[in-house]
Amino acid sequence: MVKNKNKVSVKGRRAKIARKETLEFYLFISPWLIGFVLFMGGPIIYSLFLGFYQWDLLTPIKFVGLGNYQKVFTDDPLFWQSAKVTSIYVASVPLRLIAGLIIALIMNQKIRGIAWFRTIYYLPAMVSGVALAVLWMWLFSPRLGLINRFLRMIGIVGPEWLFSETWALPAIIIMSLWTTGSIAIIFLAGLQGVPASLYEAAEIDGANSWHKFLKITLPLLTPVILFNLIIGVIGSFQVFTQGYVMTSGGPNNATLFYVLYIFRNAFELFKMGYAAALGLILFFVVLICTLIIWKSTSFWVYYEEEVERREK
Amino acid sequence: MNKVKKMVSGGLILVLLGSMFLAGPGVLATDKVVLTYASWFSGGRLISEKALAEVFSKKYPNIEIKRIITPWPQHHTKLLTMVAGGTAPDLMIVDAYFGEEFFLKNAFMDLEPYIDRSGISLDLYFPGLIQENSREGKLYGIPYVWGTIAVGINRDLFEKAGLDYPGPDSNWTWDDFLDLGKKLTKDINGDGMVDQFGVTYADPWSKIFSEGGDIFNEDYTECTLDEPAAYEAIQWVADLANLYHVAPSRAEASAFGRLGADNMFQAGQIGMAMTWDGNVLVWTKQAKFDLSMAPVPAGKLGSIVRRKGNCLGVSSLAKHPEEAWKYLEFILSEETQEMFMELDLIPLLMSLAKSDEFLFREEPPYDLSPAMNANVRWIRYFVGLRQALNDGLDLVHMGKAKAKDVFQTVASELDKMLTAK
Repeated sequence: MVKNKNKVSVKGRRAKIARKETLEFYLFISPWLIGFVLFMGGPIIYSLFLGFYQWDLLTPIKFVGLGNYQKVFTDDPLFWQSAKVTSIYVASVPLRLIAGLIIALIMNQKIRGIAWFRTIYYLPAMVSGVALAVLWMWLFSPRLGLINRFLRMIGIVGPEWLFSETWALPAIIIMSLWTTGSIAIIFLAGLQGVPASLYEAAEIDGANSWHKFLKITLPLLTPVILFNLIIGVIGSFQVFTQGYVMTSGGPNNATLFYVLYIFRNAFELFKMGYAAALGLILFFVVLICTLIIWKSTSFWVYYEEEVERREK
Repeated sequence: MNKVKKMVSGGLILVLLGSMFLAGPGVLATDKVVLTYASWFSGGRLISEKALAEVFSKKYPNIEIKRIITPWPQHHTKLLTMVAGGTAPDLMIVDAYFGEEFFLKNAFMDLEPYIDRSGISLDLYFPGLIQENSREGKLYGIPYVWGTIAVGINRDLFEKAGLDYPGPDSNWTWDDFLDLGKKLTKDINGDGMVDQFGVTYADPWSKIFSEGGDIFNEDYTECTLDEPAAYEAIQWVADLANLYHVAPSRAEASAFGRLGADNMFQAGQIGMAMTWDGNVLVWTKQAKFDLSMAPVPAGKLGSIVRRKGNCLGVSSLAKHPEEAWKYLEFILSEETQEMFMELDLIPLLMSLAKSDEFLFREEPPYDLSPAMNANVRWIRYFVGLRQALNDGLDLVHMGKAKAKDVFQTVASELDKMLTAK
């Protein structure tokens, strides 16, 4: 037994240690915490209020109440255009999920050298935004690009891609399908979490590959699909680099993504308050979409532990 | 955790925190002045710039010039942000398209007091350009880079096609331009794709002027782009690519970068380039073909050509205005202006720019008089004008609509902007 030499109670000593550990905790995360408050949290709150003002950085700031929001909804056709463009891009997230799932299924084979294939299929996801955009600008070049050259070889006259109002946005969506490596990796982890015994049991009952996929793989993958869906949706609301680097929002605003429109208002037209208002609107739209997806999970997401809990 | 480990990690955290605040600029112990100079110059132009800077530093050894180079499309946005953020460079050059935005924000320092003090007589320099950079008696910058539209001729391609190229005194018309363009457009290797084009582009504003039209009326109260002389000219220019296919379309030229058609000309794939005379001069440095200059073709009223300058000035927030002024004084001095001729830059001093020594030479482009003796007009750009005009041109070039309809809308937009001023 430890002799308590000091006249401090055991409880007080524990509290002292706890306090010390709390202090150490804050000290260790202080670099990150300061950075977050200064560069993310603070500015976010600041722009919340900025949406009610009008400011161009040089002339004095002016309070306009809901004036910015009024203008957004009644007097700004480009707002609706950018909302439409971004919505189409967000609606293409399922395409990306399907592509990622197909790649994951392919990567799940037990053949030799599969590790090499997995690396190769994941590499595109590691190419950073601007480099990727420039690379695909070359691929899509109407005259010299590989895509149109290939089409010419099989006798099709390719469209003008990034210079065509109808094909610019599809081009960017096609480009996004190339970087599904990260989605595929997560699906792969999910696929490997499916117990092999389920497949064996199904085979005994006479199920073919399609049945196995539809009745076993997919339902057990739904939590992973949910994750990729939410991450994909939130990410696609934020699409910017492709619009800025590849098409500058054109041709004729066909690829004017919402965040690109915010950027333009803030840093090219110097309408800070207006841009902040647009930003807040985006925040709410993303929030609502995420909530809708979340609420819908009870209809289609299957959690193993949940079912076990219910059966107990 | 033991005491030593705690102290070491605590110390590391303090270092991390501290380094956030100590990463500031170092303090120079010398009294050397560093001037920041923001521009978009690259390629051949940058070589000439550096040569000038070298001569300048020999004259003023304590002044060093530090360049901030941003590609043209981002240059002005970046500068406006720097001005707004209070970090504007000492020297900056702004294209005439965007000058007004900077003048309205008082971004440039008034040079009049410095000009008076130095005894420089501004009448010796091109007056129209000086006017571009003046507002209400204040001069905001010198027209350092300026130009007149002219036509660059690839003589080799003309000779190969057995055609006579237009010379410096030629009175050729826009129809001749189109005709020669058609004859120079070829599919050389027979793969169904045109490999050589006749022309790069035609400057719509110069054509409008030459056909008797204009962007605005005499007293700047109304936009006149909805008149036939104007929109027919714009349609004609777009048709060069879309209808007659003698010029590469924007999509086709895009493979060669932003100014794709100009780059294609430099690569020897186009017969005639309508561009700034300064470009023709600079391209001779690296052109692998025989390059000469022809005047802009004539319309009903003869050949009337667009002239434009730029504004090189000292920022109103400059930390070293005196030294920055010294650089401008250096540029305007007669010795430097004479150097311009050797460096393939167009002098600002009228006497030199119109001198035989500058205009006529043994090697390409042989004769610069088509640009220098042209009948010129310049466009007074106000905030939003360029964007409105370009948006209109984009729609016509995309083939989406006819110039007649598009420019009805553009004209009423511009009328609104004029009344708002």
